[in-house]
Amino acid sequence: MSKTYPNGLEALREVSFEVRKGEIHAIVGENGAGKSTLMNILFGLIKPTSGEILFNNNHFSPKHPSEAIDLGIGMVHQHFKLVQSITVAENIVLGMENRFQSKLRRVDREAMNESVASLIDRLRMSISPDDRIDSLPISKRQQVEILKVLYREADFVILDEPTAVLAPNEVEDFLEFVRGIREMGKTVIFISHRLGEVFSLADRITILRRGNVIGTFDKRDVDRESVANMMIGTATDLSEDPPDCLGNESVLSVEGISDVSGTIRDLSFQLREGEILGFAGVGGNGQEELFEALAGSLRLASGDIRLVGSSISSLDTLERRRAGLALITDDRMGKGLAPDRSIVENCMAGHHKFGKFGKWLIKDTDARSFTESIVADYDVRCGKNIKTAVRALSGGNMQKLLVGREIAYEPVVLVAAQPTAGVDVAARKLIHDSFRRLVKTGSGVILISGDLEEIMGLANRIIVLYRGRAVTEMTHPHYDPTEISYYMTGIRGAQDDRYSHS
Amino acid sequence: MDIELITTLFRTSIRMATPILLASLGGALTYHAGIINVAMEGLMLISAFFSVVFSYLTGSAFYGIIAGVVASMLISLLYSVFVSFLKANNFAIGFAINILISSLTLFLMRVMFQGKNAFNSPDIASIMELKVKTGNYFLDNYLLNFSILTYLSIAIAFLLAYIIYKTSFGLRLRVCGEMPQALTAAGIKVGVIQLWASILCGGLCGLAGAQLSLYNVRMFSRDMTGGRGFVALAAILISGGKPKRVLFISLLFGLFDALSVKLQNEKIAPQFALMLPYIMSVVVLLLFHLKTRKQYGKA
Amino acid sequence: MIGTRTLSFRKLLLSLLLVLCILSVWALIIWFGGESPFKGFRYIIEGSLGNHYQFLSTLNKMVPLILAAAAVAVPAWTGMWNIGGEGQLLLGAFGAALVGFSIDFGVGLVNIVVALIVSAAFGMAWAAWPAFFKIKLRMDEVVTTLMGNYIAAQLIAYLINNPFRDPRSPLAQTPYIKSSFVIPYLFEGSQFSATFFVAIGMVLVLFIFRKRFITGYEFDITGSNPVFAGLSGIRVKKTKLLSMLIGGALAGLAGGLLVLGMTQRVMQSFSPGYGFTGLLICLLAFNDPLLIVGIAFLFSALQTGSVNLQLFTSVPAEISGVLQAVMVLFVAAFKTFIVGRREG
Repeated sequence: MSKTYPNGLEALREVSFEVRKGEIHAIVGENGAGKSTLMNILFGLIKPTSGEILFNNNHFSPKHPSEAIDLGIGMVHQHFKLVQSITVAENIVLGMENRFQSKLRRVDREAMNESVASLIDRLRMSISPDDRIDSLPISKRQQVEILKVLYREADFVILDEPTAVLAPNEVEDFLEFVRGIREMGKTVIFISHRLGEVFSLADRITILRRGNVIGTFDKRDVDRESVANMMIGTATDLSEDPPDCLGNESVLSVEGISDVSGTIRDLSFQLREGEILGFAGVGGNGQEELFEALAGSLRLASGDIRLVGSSISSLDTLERRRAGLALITDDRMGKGLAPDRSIVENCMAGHHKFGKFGKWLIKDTDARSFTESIVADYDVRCGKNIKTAVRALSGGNMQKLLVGREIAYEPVVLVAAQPTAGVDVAARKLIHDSFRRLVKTGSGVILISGDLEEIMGLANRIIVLYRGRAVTEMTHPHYDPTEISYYMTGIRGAQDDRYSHS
Repeated sequence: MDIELITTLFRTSIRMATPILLASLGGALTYHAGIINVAMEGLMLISAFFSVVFSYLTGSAFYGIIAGVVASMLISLLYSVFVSFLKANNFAIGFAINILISSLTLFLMRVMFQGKNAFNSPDIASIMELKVKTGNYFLDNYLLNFSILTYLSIAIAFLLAYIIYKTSFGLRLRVCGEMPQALTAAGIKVGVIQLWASILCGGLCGLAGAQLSLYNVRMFSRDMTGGRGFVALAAILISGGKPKRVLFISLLFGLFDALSVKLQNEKIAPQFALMLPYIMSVVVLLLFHLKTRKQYGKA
Repeated sequence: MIGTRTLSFRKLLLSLLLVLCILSVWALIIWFGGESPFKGFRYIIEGSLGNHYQFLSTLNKMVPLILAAAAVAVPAWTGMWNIGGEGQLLLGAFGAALVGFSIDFGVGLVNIVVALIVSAAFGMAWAAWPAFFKIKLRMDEVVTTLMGNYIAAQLIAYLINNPFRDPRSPLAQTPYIKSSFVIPYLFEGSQFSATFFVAIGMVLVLFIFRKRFITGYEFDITGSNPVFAGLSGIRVKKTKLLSMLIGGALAGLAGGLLVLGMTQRVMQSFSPGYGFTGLLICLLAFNDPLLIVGIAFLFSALQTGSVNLQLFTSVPAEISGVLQAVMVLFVAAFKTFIVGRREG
């Protein structure tokens, strides 16, 4: 069985690899390495630009997930598609439940539960078919999601970062469960960047980096350190150096914050003037919550946030902006811009609260010249028409607009989440340069990014987030990407990861 | 208290609750399918009109009810096509339909009967009652001799509880409202489920309209549904679309209606009596939201 | 959406088809009403635009329609539904009448201005509680504003029957407002008063408010992407509340203008459903103030024209409501194809 996907898009470049029947095949790579794109192609959610897939030696080009399902391919997404208010069995059987219809069109619950229970038993799991989904812990829900796929007799199961949502002590159960799937004679693709788990589970490992396959290896031929190196890339081009304008005063101090849901736990750090502080980590380890905590849209359970000495914990977003905070969100279309509105209207947002365009009446000339200066400074390509709807811009131009608007606040502290996600090299450079200019004025920047190269080239100091905690801190120039990648993937430093020494 | 008074109040409550119950049961179906149905007002009104017309023309309440139900189902089908397939905003279309029917019924009444704001005639056949005289006061007044639609509506409440929670269609219906992606992933078309829910809703609102115009008053008058479609909507929102709770809340709203009727003969200004059902539906909705907010607070 | 503004041949064709569809269904309805469609259309046009009296009367009838539509549009800018225009209008009318028959400041203009301000305040008050419940408890404003209509109707009925009933009148209605409150007709023999200019003025103010004012800008961003608005420091809940209050004030003003400019008192069945016609107009105008004026003119012409139709034929005047609602449904159906689907 072999598959080949070259893809004209940036996401994947001439990627080829093969998966053997009956193996657990891990695909590892950083965020944005192209793992999800690859799997979505395989599952018929995205069409490849070029290339082909051979499935059991037959050409296979699914146009719709149903075609993939018919061939026995099943995919478990990171985001569950389970219906909360119905039972495990109902979720699993949904769409096929009329098989169990008895007289009066009643769904025969017992027959349905029995058929699901037999599958559960074969996997030696402890789930009751009659439990409601909303009464189950996340780990069980995940298993239900996988059962759904197995129930449809999939022989080829794709698990997209299945352990991201699991607590450490739940992971071993889960891995045992996946091994059970292999024992049923099924093929499993396991996507993860937690190398401990990968090594405990997989037969073979394919490493993806920036849309390229670095290689496929038998687990016995490689060790975790070398995989981490290949995954993150030690041969990082360190042509960029962090700016050198560190002051002494602290501009932002975060003291032991935890959020209500417990995603970030007891996080403390100081940001000095002229400093870029990088938060490295694989996605889903508390980055979004950190951003929201700073922005003021997340309820804190404990801790305090102080901006230049005074607490901002109890302030709302507007008051925090007034105090000198600027925010680059990681979701430009959903949270950072109003896509249906014009460039001018998007540039004005927030700034209008500072009286830049008049207190009551919008001074059109001011708004225009303000917008035009952002458009010019940040090279936003919009055909000279600032009345264009933002939706019509490319992703890179949207991002430059967003960055330009936030830096135009001349903030004391800029919080930037994934500021260059999905943008081209030129835009990336431009955005990085704008951060450098900003810190020269004495401001501080919090750079939350899944892109280690970006952080190492830009940040004076790096904190690695793993499961919502700061697991290590490094200072320029003592960066060791290999070390960082160990921390990011939980090989080192994770106090509660049982797989770090297995 | 006077036993006669309680009896009258009870019977009026049941009479007034029946159309609200039928409509909210219908709306509960679309609610589960993910559509907040604001067209129920119009559906009831068109049915009330055609029920009267056909009852008058044929002399049979049965044909009247059938005509009302068919008219209501057709309009509901139209609503569903707009909402589920043309993806139009359900509030916008719902209100456009309500207003259309409000003026259409008035227009048709003028064209067909030259009536001014109401049409009544002794030739309009009324919906039958389950007329049994056992001689037992309690049985005769509290269990028997209601409109047959009242018995039917209670039966439908239990039937819907069965359909929604026990059958394959019900499962798909609930999934449709809660997580349509799961349905699509299982290869089932969301629009089709919504369409069926809407048609059934149309049928039930049709019965509700017939009960209003062929039993509760036996005439058609301009905008005679008087916001009951929205009282029903409030009942659905409060009950979360659960048929047995809908039954209970409809009876409560029926009681307010009955009190309103009763109070109109008392010393207080009749306007306050007429206001009562609307105020109470807001108050009940308010209490419900206050309670759920507390629960959220705890969680 | 990209290319929404570009006029393509396909869009033009669809728009023509839309007009054709509406006209043919209108013709069908007139035919059903018992008149040949061509004659029917002629009576409608003659009755609304035939001579300058009728034309002025059509303009005058636009006043409540424009303001009732604006009362829906302004909350819609921030994503709120105001279905309570009818009740807010009634409260506003009563407020104006109350001032008009009980107080006198001596100066006509002051009287009028005070009465109008009171009418707007009454309308605003009636929009305030649903808006408050919505932002505090997430209580569905569609249900509450609508229930508000029925409650307001009964409340007004009580007030004009009991405490504020004109003792000299056999009917339940308030006394006439004092003559110094009346906004007079401008031309002999035709119903046209300065209220028209007030309504047009309000539309212009709203247009400028939306395009030029900081707060109007905040309304627009809140409606377009509330999460973004919140992250930009806009106070989303306050903005939504304010839009609802303005909506209520506009509906109240509509009632006030009707009393001062036309009826001079509040009586039983004061409003023939201005609130709901306003809702239809707003739906057709896609919340745009200037388009509201255009659609309101069309609707008003249909209404005055239909009265003429009833005068000369057997077709009842209620046909106008049917024609209006049919038009909304057709436009909604075609919108999907002309503008394209847009989520949210």
